Amino acid sequence: MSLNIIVLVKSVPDPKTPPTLKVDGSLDLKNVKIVVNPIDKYAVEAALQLKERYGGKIIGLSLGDHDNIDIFREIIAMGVDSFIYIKDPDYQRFDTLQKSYVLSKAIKKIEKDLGRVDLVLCGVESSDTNMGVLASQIGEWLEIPSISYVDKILEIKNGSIIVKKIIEDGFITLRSRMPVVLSIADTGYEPRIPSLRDTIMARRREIPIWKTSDLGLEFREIVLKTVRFKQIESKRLGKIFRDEDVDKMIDRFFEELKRDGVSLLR
Amino acid sequence: MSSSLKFDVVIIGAGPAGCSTGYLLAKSGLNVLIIERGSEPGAKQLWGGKAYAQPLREVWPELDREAPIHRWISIERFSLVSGERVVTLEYKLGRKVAFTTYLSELVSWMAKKAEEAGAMIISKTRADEIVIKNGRVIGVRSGSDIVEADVVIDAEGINRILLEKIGLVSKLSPEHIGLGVKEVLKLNSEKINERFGLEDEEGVSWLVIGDVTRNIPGGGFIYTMRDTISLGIVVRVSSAYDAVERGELNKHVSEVLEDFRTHPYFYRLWSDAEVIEYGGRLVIENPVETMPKKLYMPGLIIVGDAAGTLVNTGYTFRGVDTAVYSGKIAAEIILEAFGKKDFSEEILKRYEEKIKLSYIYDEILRHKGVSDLMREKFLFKDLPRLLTGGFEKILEADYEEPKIIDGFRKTMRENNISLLRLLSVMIKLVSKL
Repeated sequence: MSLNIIVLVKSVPDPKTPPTLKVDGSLDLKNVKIVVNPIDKYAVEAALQLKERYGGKIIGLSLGDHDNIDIFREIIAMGVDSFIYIKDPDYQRFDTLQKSYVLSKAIKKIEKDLGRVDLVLCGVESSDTNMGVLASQIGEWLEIPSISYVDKILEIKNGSIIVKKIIEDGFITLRSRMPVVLSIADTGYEPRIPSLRDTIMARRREIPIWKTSDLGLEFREIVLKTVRFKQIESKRLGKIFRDEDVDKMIDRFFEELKRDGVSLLR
Repeated sequence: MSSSLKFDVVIIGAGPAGCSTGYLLAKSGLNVLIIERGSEPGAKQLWGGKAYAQPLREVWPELDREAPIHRWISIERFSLVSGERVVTLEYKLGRKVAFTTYLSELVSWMAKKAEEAGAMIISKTRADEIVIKNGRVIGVRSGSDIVEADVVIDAEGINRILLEKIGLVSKLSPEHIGLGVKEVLKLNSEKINERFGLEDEEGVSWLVIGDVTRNIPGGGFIYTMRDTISLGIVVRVSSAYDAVERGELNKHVSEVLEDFRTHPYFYRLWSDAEVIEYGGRLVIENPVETMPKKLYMPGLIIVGDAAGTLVNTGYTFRGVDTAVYSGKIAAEIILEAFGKKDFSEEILKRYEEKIKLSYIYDEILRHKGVSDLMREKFLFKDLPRLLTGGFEKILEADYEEPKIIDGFRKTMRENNISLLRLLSVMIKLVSKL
């Protein structure tokens, strides 16, 4: 068996440095350091371990608007076979549905070259938007199953895959047919630190840059419109509910929220 | 695309010395690799302070135009403090000699220059060993990988772990080390200009000795950055230890920095500022004693702090320009070695010879013994008391002002300072500095 794996990697503002805001309240991206979304490295590690176990090929794929392609060299140094960067000047105005659409088109194109894609992996969420919707959206666009919050991939056999998924109060083991999209959590794997040799070799590698126009996209209109940015101030009120009855406490909790002007979508 | 792990030159450490050497060699067409342990060049640089420009301009003529310079030093101040009384000497400079900056920003700029010139910089990577084969350095080991090079440059900085391993230096002792503790205070540039009497882009470099270090040998410093103030103290580790023994210091030298920051005379300058960063750094007190036995061996050259180029002038430390300059000299010799395809000691020892003929070594020698002098109680306790006490008698006289000489004579008597002692220390001081 040999697997063709695509790992999706996002560029994000460095989560370790405090963000600076522009006058209108939006994020100032000009002086921000762009890095690889930390959780995506766990997805890369998962792919590498699968390749070591079953053989195959790993292709890294990213979508963005910046020119700092050197940040992807760390991913190459970890051991992915090749890396493709799709650059689109409108990226910042894309909503997640458009991002996932572009990526799924790129996956289709890669599939055409490879003959087959068995697995698409990504991190559970990005450190900048924390949406966690990419895996399911890609799954929908490609019309294949998707599983999010995967702790560990347990086994691949006869065209199906068994994974350990994180759920609210524990884990669940799931089996899926392949191809499948998985979002990998930062719990079951430990991303490797590339060796000096691999880091040097990665510096010498070409990173092809695709344009969205190369992908035969069907829609181009920007559906996401920014109305305004607002910084939310948070305040601790320090109210503690001590009633015995849980239902009563919850009712009082919601009453208090309403009194404080919090409107609830129910 | 070659898969070999062989470079012309491998440099350990992307600090000022490593980056300047790497920049000059890459610019001359050599294949250069710089390995940096920090998350990126400059990440491990704590220092914010004063750098002398001219030696840097010799490497980067575009320095004034391009480098992240915060303020050009236009005023140098020197204060002696005793209690609430302060005697200050101020000198207004006439040209752009030194500037304030954060070393993290400066080093990041130097690294960018080196990369643009063609050097490969790899961060987050630790060099584990300088690899020696048949008495000759052949490369650097990191993890299980060995990168070969015709010349390895050790620019690892003050903590010379790799050089210790190959026996070129011995371990540092507390006697040899000073501890610097600093704080960065945030204050907008208009307020800094107003309170320190500066124009935009003008800066102050201010040295303070006396009570502010609780009379522990050492000194305090203040530098104005663009919109922050760096303030700190440097004390000898062994003296700080003695002070704890004597009960003059509770636990930590940071207490001394707190005293300094909250001293009424200085506090008014930054009372509304916010501390945004603090940290510590080691400095070498006795460069001559702690210099490596040799600054070279076949296939190896040592530059910067690791080579002992940090100069302790007694009243300030000078390390960025000397580190860069040592890199410049190293690059000259290495280019010569590549011209002759000869990396033996005969060629590389000329690096040490040139260092010893350069201003760096002159500075080091000139200040040799200064650190012993700095241990004198006189300088940190008696001199501040003498001057503030003398001026107090003259300038704070309610009725009849004493003659200047009488004011100082009386203060000397009060503090048990003999004229002979005063003269002898002053002569020593003047001759050493």
